[in-house]
Amino acid sequence: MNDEFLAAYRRQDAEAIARLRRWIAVASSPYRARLTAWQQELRWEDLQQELYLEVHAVLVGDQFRGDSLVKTYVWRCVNNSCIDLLRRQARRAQVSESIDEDRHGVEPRWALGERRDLRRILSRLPAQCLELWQRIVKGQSYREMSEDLGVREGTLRVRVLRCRRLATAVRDDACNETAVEEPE
Amino acid sequence: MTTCDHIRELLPWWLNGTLDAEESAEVEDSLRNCAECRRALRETEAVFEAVESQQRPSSESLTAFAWGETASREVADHLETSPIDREAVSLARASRALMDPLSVEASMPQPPFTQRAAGWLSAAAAVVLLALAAQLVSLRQELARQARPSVDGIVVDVFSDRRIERSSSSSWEGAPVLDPERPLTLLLHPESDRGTFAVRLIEERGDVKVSLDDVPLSEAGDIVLGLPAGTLVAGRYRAEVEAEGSAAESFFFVLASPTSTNDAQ
Repeated sequence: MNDEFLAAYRRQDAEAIARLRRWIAVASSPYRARLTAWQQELRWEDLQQELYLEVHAVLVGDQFRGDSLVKTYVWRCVNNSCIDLLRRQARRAQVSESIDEDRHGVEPRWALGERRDLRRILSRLPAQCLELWQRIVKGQSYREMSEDLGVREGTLRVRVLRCRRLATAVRDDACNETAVEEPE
Repeated sequence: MTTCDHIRELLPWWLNGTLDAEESAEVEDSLRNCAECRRALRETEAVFEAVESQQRPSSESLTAFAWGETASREVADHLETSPIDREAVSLARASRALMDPLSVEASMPQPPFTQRAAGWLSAAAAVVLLALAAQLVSLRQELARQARPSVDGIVVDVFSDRRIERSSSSSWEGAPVLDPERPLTLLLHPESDRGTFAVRLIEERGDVKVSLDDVPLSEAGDIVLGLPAGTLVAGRYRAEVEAEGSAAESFFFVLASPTSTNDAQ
C-alpha cells in the first residue's frame, strides 16, 4: 500500500496528489474554526498549501522511512503543524490585542518551517544567554533577575538584548545556509 | 539611549507580562507608532518561542499523547496547567477520529489519572476489552451496512473536551446542553456523502456565528469542527450543513454554563 501510493505520488499521479490533498484537508479540518476564529486574515487555502508543501517535501525526500502507513504519517505531520500553529496563535492573540496589529501592519507570522530555525537557534545560543532567556520565559521580572544574578538592571537588560541579537544572527545565518544548500 | 533602544530592552519582559503598568503602556505606545519597534518585537518573540518550546512537550509529544500512543506523566502534568495544549490534544483526538471510520470512541479523551492508575488490573481488562472490541467492530460494520440512523437528515455526535453526547435532536427541546466555557468539538454526520460542504453555526435569532465553506468529509462521512472556548456565548444554536445541490440539514444544540443550568433547576 505504502510503496504503491508513494510510487504513484512520486511520479505525480493526479489521483495520488488529489488523495494526499484530501487527507490533509480532512486531518486539519477540526482545527479550522479554531485557527480562523483567532486570526481572521489567515486564509485557509494558504495554510492547506503550506501543509501540502511540508508533507510533499517529506514524501519526495528520504525522511519518510515507511514505519507507518503513509496516511497515518500524513495525519501526524498535519496535527503536529496545526498544534504548532495553534500555540503560536495563542501568543499572537495576546500581542495583537495589546497593539491592534491589524491596524499597525504587523504581518501574520505562521510559517511552519520556522520550527527548524528555532531548534537551530537553541543549539547555538551560548549557555549564559539560554539561562537568561529561560528565566524570562519562566516569568521572572528584570528586577527579580537582577537581584538573583547580582547584576544591575540596566546591564542585565543590555545583556538580554545582545543575546536576542545573537539569536537573530544565528537564525539569519541558518537561513543563508539553507539557501546555499538548495541549489536545485 | 533612544526611546527605541529602551523599548527593545523591555520587550522580553513585556512578553512575559512582568512590566509594571507604566512600562507596559510605554511599550505598547511605541509598538503602535514605531515600525522598527514592531520588527524588534517579532525578533524577540521568535527567541521567546524558541526557548519556550524547549520547556514544554513538543507538538509531536502532544499528538502521540492525544492518540493514546504514550501515557506520559510529563505531558499529563503539563496539560493540567496549559489550557491551550488541552485544546490542542482535544483537536488532535478529533482529527484522529477522522482517520479511521471506526475510531471515534477509541480516540475519546481519557482523564490523565486513568492512565496513571494503569496496572495489572487494567492490563487484564484490556484483554477482555479487546475481545469485546473485536465483536463491537464486527457489529458496527454490520450496522454500517444497514441504513444510517438519522433524524431530520442529520445524525450528530457532540463531544466537548472530556465527554461525549449523542443527539438526534430536530429541535431545541431535548437538544444537548454544552458548556460554552469549554472547547467544543462538533462531529456532524450529514446524510449526503459527496463533495464538500458549507457549514454554518446559527444563533437562535438567525445570526450566523461561524461560517465555513468547502469543508471536506472524512472517509467515514463525518465533518469535525473544533471551536475555541468562548467562541460562542451561551444560547441556542443550530448547525446547518449544506452540500451543493442538496437541501440543508440542521441539528440543534444549547450552550449553557453548568452553574446557570443548575440555577434554572
